Amino acid sequence: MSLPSTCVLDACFIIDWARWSKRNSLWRVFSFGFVPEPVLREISTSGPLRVLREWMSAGFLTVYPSSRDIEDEALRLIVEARRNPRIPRIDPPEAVCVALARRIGAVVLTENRGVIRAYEIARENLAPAVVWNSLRLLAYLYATGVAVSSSFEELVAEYEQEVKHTFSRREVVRVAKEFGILRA
Amino acid sequence: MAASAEELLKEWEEEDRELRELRRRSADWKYIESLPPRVREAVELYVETGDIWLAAKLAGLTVDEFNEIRIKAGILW
Repeated sequence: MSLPSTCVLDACFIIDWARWSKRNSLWRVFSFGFVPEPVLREISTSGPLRVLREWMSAGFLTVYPSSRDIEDEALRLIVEARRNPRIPRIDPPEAVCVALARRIGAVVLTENRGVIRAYEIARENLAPAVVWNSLRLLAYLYATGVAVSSSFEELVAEYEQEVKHTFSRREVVRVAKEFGILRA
Repeated sequence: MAASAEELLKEWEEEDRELRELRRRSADWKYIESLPPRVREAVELYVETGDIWLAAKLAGLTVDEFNEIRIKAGILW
């Protein structure tokens, strides 16, 4: 799978990954990342701020300043998603992430189900952006050997334990199938 | 919409149900009851919807600050 080398990080993703001991594996998948300004405003406790500082110091990450055209595009995405009652709400910071990722062809890393489902239903609408949650990134890390574990389920369990984020078991199975790493 | 997409939508409904139930069961309701009204309502909104940004805004907090309350309340993400 050919994956864009740039990512756009959403607040929930940053908060979760700041708690994970293997968080720096992110930069073995992506060479560079953006945090949009509205996302940065949602980060205010010491742990996630320290991780952002480390990633910025290492040159992996920078802030994408707010801009009128990206925010207009984000608003359009939010309104479009509301027209489909099956898609959970897309919140403004996540929509900004998608608008930016569409502009530059990047992977949005988010836990917002609205964005993830909008992408799953009609990927072409958000192209060239790719939208992944942590579970998909874990699957990619496992499938490519970046994260070593006895099984994908074991890696997910380790992540859930450290981060205090629980995934739906149904989603774990679905994502494992999607990445071809389902245990027989 | 194709059948596979319909199946996916059904799957999502089941996932939402599973996660909502997990949030309800894991929550420390005694702690939640002790919170100031604005924050308490926000936590209840989070338990029902799983939408952390909206809940944080209702509480008047950043997502990061609200997440700390979620963890104290024992609610699964």
